[in-house]
Amino acid sequence: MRSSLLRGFGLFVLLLGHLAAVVYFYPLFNEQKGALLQLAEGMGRVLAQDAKLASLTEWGYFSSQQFFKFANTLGTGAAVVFAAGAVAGETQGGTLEIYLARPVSRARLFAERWLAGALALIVPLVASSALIVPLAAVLDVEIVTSTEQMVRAACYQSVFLLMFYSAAYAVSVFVVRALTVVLSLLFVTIGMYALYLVPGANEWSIYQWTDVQTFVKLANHWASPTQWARPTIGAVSFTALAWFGFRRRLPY
Amino acid sequence: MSSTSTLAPTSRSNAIVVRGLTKRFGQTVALAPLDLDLARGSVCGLVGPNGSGKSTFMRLLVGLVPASAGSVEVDGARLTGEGLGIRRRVAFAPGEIAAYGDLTADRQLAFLLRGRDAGALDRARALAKRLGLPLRGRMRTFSHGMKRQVMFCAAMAPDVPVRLLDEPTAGLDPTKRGEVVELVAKDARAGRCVLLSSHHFGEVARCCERVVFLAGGRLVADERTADLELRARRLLTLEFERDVSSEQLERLAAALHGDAGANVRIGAARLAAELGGDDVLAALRGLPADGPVPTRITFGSHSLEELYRDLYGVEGL
Repeated sequence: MRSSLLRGFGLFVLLLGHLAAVVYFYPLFNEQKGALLQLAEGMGRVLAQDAKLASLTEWGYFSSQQFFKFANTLGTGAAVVFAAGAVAGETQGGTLEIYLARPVSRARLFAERWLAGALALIVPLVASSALIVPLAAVLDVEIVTSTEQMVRAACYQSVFLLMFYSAAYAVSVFVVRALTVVLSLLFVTIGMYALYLVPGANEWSIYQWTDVQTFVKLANHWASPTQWARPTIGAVSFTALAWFGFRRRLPY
Repeated sequence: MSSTSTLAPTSRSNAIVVRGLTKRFGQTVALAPLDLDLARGSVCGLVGPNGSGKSTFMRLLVGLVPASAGSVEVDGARLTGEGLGIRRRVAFAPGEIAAYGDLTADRQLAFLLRGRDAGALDRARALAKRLGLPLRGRMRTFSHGMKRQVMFCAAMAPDVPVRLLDEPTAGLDPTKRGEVVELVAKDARAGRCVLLSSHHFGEVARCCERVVFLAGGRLVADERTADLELRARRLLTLEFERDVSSEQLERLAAALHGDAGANVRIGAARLAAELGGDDVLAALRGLPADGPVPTRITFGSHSLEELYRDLYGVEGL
């Protein structure tokens, strides 16, 4: 519990720090966005479209910086690290038996551990995003982006990150070494993110679900249920797989 | 710890009832079908060589590994479908030391006793103080034996009808070992059923009314400690030079069996004869005069290790 709080606080500080930088440099970006559009012309259709959207509106800029770029990379890493030790860490440390032998139901043990990590991931993301308006006021930068827009995008990003978190949690249940979970999943996710940046290969990357075009759709409404369904189904499926594995760890 | 359990027993007879309990890991049989009844108010010693299935048996009892076949009932709760009920009735101290290094001993106890009765943590703290453990010390600074004692305190504190103690004295100094054995015996007198796994036969003999012996995942013996001690007093062993032939040993064995009615086991350059009575001189007089001369004769003063080796032919204790 204490480690989850510390992790969550650390993530919050990083996200808020990045958001502050994004807000601070917004006026400068606004002056130089023409250069970005020129740069994007040779980067393929999808990336050019992303750059255009990011440059044309303030919301495009904030969502691309805070969510597509930073939350996707740092958030994925945090999701993997937070979940990796959940069960594998206990197995590796030899404490799994004393953890499971206590008179606490396995559903509760599973849910507590899952929730502690998930909240350490989601709460900092939503809370830091919600602070954009006071942050802009403190930095004396004029913005039209609202708290509601940022929170909506943060909620969507959270569901997307929960998918990675649940996948890492499921792997953690089945394997013995926490480091194996971290390294293997980071390898996969970094590869996926890199794939998005390859012209022509973007549509094969799962990060297409959280690209600039997706966040633009979330600017004024909660977007279509289909858009939410994909990461939600992913997160639920991996959580179910983790539960299946956890039941094998504590069979009765 | 010494109070009587407030958990209402759902079965009046035995605290633990095991029927056909089996565990296989692939082709390896970790525990062959086992039937066992353990009574309340008693300590049962679980002994056997490394890899004999003792720890697996305990893990099966508390539901930490799935059984391949058979059933377990603890204080009336069946393992299948009532795993949580079993864990509420059983306090388990695993054989492998497990501790969260960053926690203080006090926090580790609180962690281990989560879900237990309200007074459990206070009893564990009192017990830890009695054993001289620094509750504010971090677990990572504790020695192997100190960590073991923290686990023991956590297992002895809850108000439960059954305790499973997997080698609770391993790594402890003789004084602490004696104290632990004394606490276990006192706990059983308060009405609890304790299953104690150990490699120290002296302590098993001191606090257990019954000894269950496993070897290779199979039940080799299940007898009262008093009966075992009686058999020990009637056990005669003869040791010879290494060059003694098996024919010579067989001749001696036949003589002991024929004249003294002894149950004889031939080992490597040794004979072990469980005599029908106490007349060892008569048994020795019946040996052929032209047979090999023993280099050592032992009668009635065997350790339990020697006893199991000579009675059941199991080495490696």
